[in-house]
Amino acid sequence: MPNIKLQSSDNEVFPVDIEIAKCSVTIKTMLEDLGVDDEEEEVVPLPNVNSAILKKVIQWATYHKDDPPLPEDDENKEKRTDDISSWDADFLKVDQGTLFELILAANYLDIKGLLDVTCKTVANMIKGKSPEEIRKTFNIKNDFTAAEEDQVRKENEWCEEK
Amino acid sequence: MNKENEIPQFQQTVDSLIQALIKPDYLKRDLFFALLLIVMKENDFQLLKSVHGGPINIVDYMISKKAKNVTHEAALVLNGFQDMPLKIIACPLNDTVLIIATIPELYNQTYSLCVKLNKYVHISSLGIPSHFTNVNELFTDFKDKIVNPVKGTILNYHKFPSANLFGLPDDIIHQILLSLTVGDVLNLSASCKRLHRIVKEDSLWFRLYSRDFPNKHKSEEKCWRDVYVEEYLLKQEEKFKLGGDVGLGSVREFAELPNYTSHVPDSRWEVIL
Repeated sequence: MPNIKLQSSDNEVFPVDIEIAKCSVTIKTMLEDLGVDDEEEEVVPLPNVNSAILKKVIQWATYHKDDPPLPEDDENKEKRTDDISSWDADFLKVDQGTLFELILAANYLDIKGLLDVTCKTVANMIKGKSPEEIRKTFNIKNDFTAAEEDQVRKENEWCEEK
Repeated sequence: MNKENEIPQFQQTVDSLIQALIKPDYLKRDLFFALLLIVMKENDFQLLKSVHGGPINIVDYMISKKAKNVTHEAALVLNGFQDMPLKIIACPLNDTVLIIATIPELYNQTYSLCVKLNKYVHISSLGIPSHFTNVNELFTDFKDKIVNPVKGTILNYHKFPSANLFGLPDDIIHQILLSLTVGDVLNLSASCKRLHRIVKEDSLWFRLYSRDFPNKHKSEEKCWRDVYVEEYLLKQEEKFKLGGDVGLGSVREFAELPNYTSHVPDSRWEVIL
């Protein structure tokens, strides 16, 4: 299998099977645009992804390389979040910084499967929590004034399922 | 001289000498603080000589500060954001260390974490710290409570995307919201101004409306949030009429049954009739 080399923002180079690298639509498009010759080993710079995160992304893509392509999203259905495979759940047992870095990397590299599963993981962390619990979980600072907070409460009064 | 007696005494003297020279308590805190600085460095922070001084490496820093004070204090900057230095202080309280990170330039915004030292620093039989244990757990705590919030605060202030919930681009937050119930969405909007603004966007309410009321006719140019609220209240009312506590799934089917007919295009009806 021909390899390509992916270079992280901190200049570490990772040789990766070209088929695995192509699960990233960004890399796939880049290679097609460049018209890369299979014979020579290209170095693809990825200035938005550091080596620790790139390592994890490659690990994920390698495990999922034989997955069938994802079906088109049907937005009219509430997305399930309880269908994360146990391998993915284990893979995503990381600190929040790493989890959110993975989301940013999946978004930049355009890897739909990885973006889906990381977003679902975050959704599960939000589910059933009050605004104060959400702030605590994600270290969000409450920047509302008391009056604004009151206003938001009124705005959201119509919903009973909170 | 009796050699048998001499050896234990020799050992005792050496032990107390080692303890006196190394000061295990200080050493434990020094090593621990150095560990935290390494984590900061791995996460793109740089150690400074002082708040206004140049960069310095961790070993030089620890040697220059060694055991002078019980409290450790260091100045750091996030690479690329030299204008926003960060102060890290570690105060020991018996076996617990309180770690505080403050950004003076951002109204002294502060993050803190309490850590039990003995859980992480292993003490050898000599009473000297020998190695770290449970380090991964410590790293995760330290990153979640200090490193990432501080980094996110600085990046957000400079309007860069950052690796935390409120630092994600709008469209990713919308994607996350679409797998939540409307109640969860509203709770998130009540947590801070930025998330409130993102949840207000009408494109999100159009998508939520399409998801939760898929059989409803959609006309153009409306305020989709208002339409959603209207429909939601209607549904609640019908649920109430049907006797309240029926499972949500069955109520939904009932409530939306009349709309099934109107959803079918008129021409079809003509053919059937």
